[in-house]
Amino acid sequence: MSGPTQSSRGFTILELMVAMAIFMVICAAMFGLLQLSQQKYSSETQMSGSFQEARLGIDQILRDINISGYPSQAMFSKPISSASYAVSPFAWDPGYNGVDLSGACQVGVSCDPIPSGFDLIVETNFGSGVSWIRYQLNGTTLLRAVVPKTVNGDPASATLSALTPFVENVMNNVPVVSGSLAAQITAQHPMMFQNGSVPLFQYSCSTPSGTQPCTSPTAAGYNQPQNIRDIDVTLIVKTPQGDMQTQSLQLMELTGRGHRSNPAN
Amino acid sequence: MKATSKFATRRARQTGFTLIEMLMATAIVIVGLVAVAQLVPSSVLLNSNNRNDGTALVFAQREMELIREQPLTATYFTDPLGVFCPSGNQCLLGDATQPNQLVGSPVVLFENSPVIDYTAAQVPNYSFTYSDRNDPAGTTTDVRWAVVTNKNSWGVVISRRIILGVFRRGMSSLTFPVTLDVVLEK
Repeated sequence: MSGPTQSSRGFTILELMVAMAIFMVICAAMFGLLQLSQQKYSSETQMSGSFQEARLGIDQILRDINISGYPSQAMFSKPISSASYAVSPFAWDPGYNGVDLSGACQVGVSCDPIPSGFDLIVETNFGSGVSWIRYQLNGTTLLRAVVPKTVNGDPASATLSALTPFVENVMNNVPVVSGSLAAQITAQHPMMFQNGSVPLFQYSCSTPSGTQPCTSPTAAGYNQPQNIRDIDVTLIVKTPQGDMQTQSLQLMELTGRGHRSNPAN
Repeated sequence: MKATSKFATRRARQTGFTLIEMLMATAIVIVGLVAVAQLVPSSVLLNSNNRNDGTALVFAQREMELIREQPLTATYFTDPLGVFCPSGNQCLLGDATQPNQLVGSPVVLFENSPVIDYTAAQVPNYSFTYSDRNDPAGTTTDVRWAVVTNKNSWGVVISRRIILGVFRRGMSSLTFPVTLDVVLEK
């Protein structure tokens, strides 16, 4: 009588507690793993989002550079208003008069502020008359403006009020903008920002000895904005927040090269 | 008495799981859960691999764009900024005195397509290593190419085939070289 009853007993409280303790430990580990993968997922989502945004940004910049200077005055058989053609693929400041190339500045010497490493105005017609497309890096925000070209207008002042945010968290000029952020970046990536800011735009000019960086001595005398042939674009972007696990900054760099389409040059 | 005995046997058959059985069941569940949880980091890794492959492909396309701009008569190309050819160097575009054969970096067949052989050493003027110090990924790009200059029966250069490989090295994750194969006619 007592035998069967003995064998059909349930767990003792001790057994139950041991089993539950083991289960709890395993559960805790599982939740830890879940949290880890959620953090990873969220970091990766941010990274993909920023990468996508930067890629769209650089694609637009390169597209604008690749159609710069279209159409040139030489494409028209009779005299036409200078608002209907591009005087130069890239407008400049100061000295721009909208009609001819007299007064054009020298890139890296007297072109201040446009065109420079962080400021560029493309002159082109992308369907609705000749426009000025300006890109300016202000702090960590890349701004963009599109305004129609006017005969006696000044591209720098005309585009200034139309600038709107285009790409956020751009780090090219971070040594100037935020020393602490720059120190954080160089702690993680010692090679970056060794020469200070990284120019967003680097210009190459057409010279008799081939295409040369506009600032090189070989390009002296050929370093006006109408002679810019290639523009190398470097875009360094960070994600809005750091890595969820390590709190380290997530950065990415995109590069591209565009050139003018002005057939007159 | 008989009834009680019957009752007792039924009770005896109705025992619950033992602790060992419970532990075994839990272990099986855990193995399953861990296997599923591993999918998350592996997909994250795959994502970053894809991004690196994409970056290598973009570099290869830009390099190819520069090569495509060169006329068929050009024997070399340069890049003053030192991105697509080390600055001051001449990157060669084949040899017209050796027509209809591969000149430059060694090539192997992979699934019936020619790809640059990255187990071989770099060939001067047909390869270079580019490192972009502003790239947070801290990688170096190993660029190599081979050129076939095609001549017609009158000895005139009619086309040029470029096989271009780009390999991003120094990544924490596994990457493979990218190969582009283009025939240029002008």
